[in-house]
Amino acid sequence: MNCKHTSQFEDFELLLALNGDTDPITRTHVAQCPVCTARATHLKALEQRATALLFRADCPPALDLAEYQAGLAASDYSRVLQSHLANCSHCRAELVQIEAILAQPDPYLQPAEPLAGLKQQLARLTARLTGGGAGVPAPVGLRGQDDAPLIYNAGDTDLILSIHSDAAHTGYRTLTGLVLGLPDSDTATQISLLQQGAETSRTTLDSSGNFMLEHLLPGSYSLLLENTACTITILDLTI
Amino acid sequence: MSNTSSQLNLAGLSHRCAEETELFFRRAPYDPQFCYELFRLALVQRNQQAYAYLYTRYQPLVAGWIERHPSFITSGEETTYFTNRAFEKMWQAIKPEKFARFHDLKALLGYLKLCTASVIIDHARSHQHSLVDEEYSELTLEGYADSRGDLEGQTVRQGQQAQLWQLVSQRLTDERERTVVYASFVMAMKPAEVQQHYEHLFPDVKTVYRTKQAALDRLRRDSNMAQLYGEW
Ligand SMILES: [Zn+2]
Ligand SMILES: [Zn+2]
Repeated sequence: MNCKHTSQFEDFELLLALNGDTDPITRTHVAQCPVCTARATHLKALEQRATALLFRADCPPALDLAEYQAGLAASDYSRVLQSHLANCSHCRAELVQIEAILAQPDPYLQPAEPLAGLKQQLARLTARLTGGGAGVPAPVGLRGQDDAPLIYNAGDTDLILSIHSDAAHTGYRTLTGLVLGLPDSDTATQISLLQQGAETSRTTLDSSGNFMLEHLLPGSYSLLLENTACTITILDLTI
Repeated sequence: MSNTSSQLNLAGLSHRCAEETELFFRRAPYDPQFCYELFRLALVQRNQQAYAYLYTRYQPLVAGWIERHPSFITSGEETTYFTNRAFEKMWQAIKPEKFARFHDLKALLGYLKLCTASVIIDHARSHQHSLVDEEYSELTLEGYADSRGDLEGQTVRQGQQAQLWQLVSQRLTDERERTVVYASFVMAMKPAEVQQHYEHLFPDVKTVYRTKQAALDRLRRDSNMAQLYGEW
């Protein structure tokens, strides 16, 4: 086939055709015309080369992520990492991996303490479900039944959560919690409930370690406890 | 008679560290000063013999962390590969001036655990990169360090890539062009994913393709980029 339309197809159209993202007529032409096929294949190879050259070019070193996870990164750098993490799913996935290693029980290191000797300390912990619900702990998204508390653990801290239907407001739920063994802090502990990163509800932990969040719509949330000594997150809480 | 860490020679220190570590592993009261002093000699004075003693002492601890990690089984590497990388990493990361941040043995061992976590991640990253490289099979990156294997190679590649990304992003001043190049090449997202993720910039997939080619065209026309990295 003799191709006489070098000006008819732009580069992006050739790639669209090569990837099958265009109309059947163009697709068929590009597939059958040696000139267009060669150009499209070359463009595709250039794109793959660009990926090989640039893939994860701005990701921080793994040790920086680990230091961040352990609360050891300097505060300015933490902010840089936070904004990178917001955009980079690769690093977010690695953070979960790092956490899995750091959370391994270490009788001799006592997880909450090993880094206590370091200066910039702010422990970042993800609480894990250790009991409650319907007997067997489910790893994610276990819904707390009325009066069947969910027990989470993060370092030395235990969180006991209960979810109840709101008798006065049909369709709504109430979350109550008791927090034990929280590290000492200069400030009150803030409790926030987040949905896809946005805060939907907030309260302060009282002096006996209790809190309550009301008028909650059923759904999947994360719970964040924050004070000057630590940040504890429950990543997947179904209410 | 009990000696303090400053009165002992290296072999004596190592012996006392071994005894105390035994107690430590049995969760009995122990004295951490001897092992801490070994760390100080290794990391502050860069004493190779002290480093070797520490390696012997804590290798089982590090091996345990590695072998309990879910990715270990499928990594295709021996435990010692990761153990060695973890110690190397700690050696490189804690320079003499940084040692003062570590006030006790627990802090040092906690940091060793961070180094262990990061070498497992490094290995996974290396694998990810090799998958990307394979897609461009006849890839010949002249002067490019091979990232597989050694830690140093990986650091070099990371540095080169960061430098290249800086050059590229400096040349792309249009937000859409910069975004499409970042998402497509740095994040390795497919055109449809780019469109979904940045819907406010790209109303349809076709715009993603068009903008990407316009950006590459701009880089292609930049003589400096062409000289350094060939055709875009
Ligand atoms: Zn043609
Ligand atoms: Zn990243």
